[in-house]
Amino acid sequence: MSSPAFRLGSLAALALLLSFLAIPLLAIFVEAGPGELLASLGEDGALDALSLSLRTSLAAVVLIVIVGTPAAYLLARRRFRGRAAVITLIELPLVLPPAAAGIALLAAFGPNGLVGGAIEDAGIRLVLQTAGVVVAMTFVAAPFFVRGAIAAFEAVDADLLDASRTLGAGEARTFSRVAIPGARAGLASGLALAWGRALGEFGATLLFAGSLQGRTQTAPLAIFEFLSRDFDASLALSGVLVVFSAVLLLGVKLLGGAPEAARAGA
Amino acid sequence: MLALDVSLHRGALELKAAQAVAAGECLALVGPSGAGKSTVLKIVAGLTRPDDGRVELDGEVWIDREGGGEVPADRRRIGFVFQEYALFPRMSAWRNVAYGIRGAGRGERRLRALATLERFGLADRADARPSELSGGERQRVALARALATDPKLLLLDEPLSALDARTRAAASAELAQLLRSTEIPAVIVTHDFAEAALLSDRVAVLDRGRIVQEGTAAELAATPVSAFVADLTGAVVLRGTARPDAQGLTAVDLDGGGTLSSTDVATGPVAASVFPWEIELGEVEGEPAGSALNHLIADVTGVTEFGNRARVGLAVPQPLAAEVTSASVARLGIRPGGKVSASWKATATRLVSL
Repeated sequence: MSSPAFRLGSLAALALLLSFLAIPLLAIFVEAGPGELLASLGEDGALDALSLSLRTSLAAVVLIVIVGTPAAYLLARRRFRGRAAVITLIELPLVLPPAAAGIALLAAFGPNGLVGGAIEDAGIRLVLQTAGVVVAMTFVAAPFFVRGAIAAFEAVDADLLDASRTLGAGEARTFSRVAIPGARAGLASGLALAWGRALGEFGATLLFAGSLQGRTQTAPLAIFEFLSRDFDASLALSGVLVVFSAVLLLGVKLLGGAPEAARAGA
Repeated sequence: MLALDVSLHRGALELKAAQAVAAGECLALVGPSGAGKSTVLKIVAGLTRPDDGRVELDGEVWIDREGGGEVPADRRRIGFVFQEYALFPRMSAWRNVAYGIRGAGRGERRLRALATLERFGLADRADARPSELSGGERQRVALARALATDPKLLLLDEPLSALDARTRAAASAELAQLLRSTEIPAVIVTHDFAEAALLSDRVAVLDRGRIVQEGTAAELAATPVSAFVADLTGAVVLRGTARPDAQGLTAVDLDGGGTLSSTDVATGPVAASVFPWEIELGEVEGEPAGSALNHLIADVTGVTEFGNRARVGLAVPQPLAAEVTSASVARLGIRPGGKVSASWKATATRLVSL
């Protein structure tokens, strides 16, 4: 039995937390009405920035999922020397200051960077390019997905994977037919977090790709630029990002939580 | 025939096991948890790689750590029944069964899965998810799934332990029948000696990674090599046919002769079990005294002493084992080749329908 005082204290803490988190979000929509928000979106560059944000973050998330899913599966199923070190390395961008990430990317892939020459020789240009935005987003957002995916695959009952093998399914078929459906909810929430992080990416993008309108200026960069001359446009863009992020999180939760959503049929 | 001779060192487990199981034979691996029973099954299935040794089936080498050859788990054609059944939770019963069926079109796979489910009395549960099935139904789906692929070897890991007591009796009788009718080698892992006695032809007792004794269940109960095996063997099983008797009890006419009484209700073929320490031994000439209803004259086939107690192997003529003190063995002059009277109560006689 919890004491009334403790329960009251916990409730107060929850109320405080909720209001602290919700008030700024609400403020965006109170400061500017829906009509004003939509009108401000017509501001030069706002729609460009939004569309660029969606395209680049989508590309980053697709890259992260395609490469990250099998890598996470390997890390979840195998025990090998140095595994903890590998996982720590993957998690490092989580705690890395975005500005430091941007500098690191420049040092690696910049014109005079570690592997910049080789990349340039291959005909790929990243710095101050849209592709550079995708690289910055992928770098900072990948750990959010991979961490979640490792945990999700570790939670899949090993007997299910073994059962699949004894029933004649190879490793690839077991991965796609049993492991992925079993880890679906965790994969989806990892994807939502990574997408949200990619959408919000600011520092690394600014340092590595710059803030060129129509090419590398994503919505967060545009919000910063508008701030000095048109607060309403900043508000409008922020409002759209808040709504989109909320829809993303909610959608993924519904998709991942409903057992009927993905059928793992023959 | 399955032949294995493997060793594995993993954590605290030092496993070393060699066995051969003939076609149609069922071997039971019995022992406490942590003895390495399930690990043996996983090695045979190709889910765990042994440090040393080899596994082969019908002359085909599945793994040979010397020669370097290895057939992956998915190519071994094994029917594996997992302890908690490991049914794919998002698939219906028929899709679970169809999962392993290969070389057929979608419609054909479905028909074959349905036919297999029907054989297990589950035709009307084909579209149910595992979460909608009862424990007994889940176990039958797991068996159907394992057998639908027409496997060359059947491996069962504690196939009855996830069931409640009431379902277990019926399921074990069904499983016993199934195992008798299959013509492939089978290995069953269980911690329950009575289950092993009922389901298998031969029992190997595993303790801390080593096979400490093997033989028929009756041999192990009658002449255990150690106190460990004696304690593990638990109840002894006699087979016979049950019918109600005039006193409201159940009479069991034992295969090979002799009749028992039990307070359990059953008719038809049964397995009657009694614990060795419930059996009282006496001289053949003596008048039966006390409240025990069951009195059988038995040939003494062996006497094994450990410490202050002794296992006495008996033939009634079915094999039976009694456990008495060493002092009693000396006082009654019990020795192999002699005769004794074995008595126990009808209330100590459990019946399981077969």
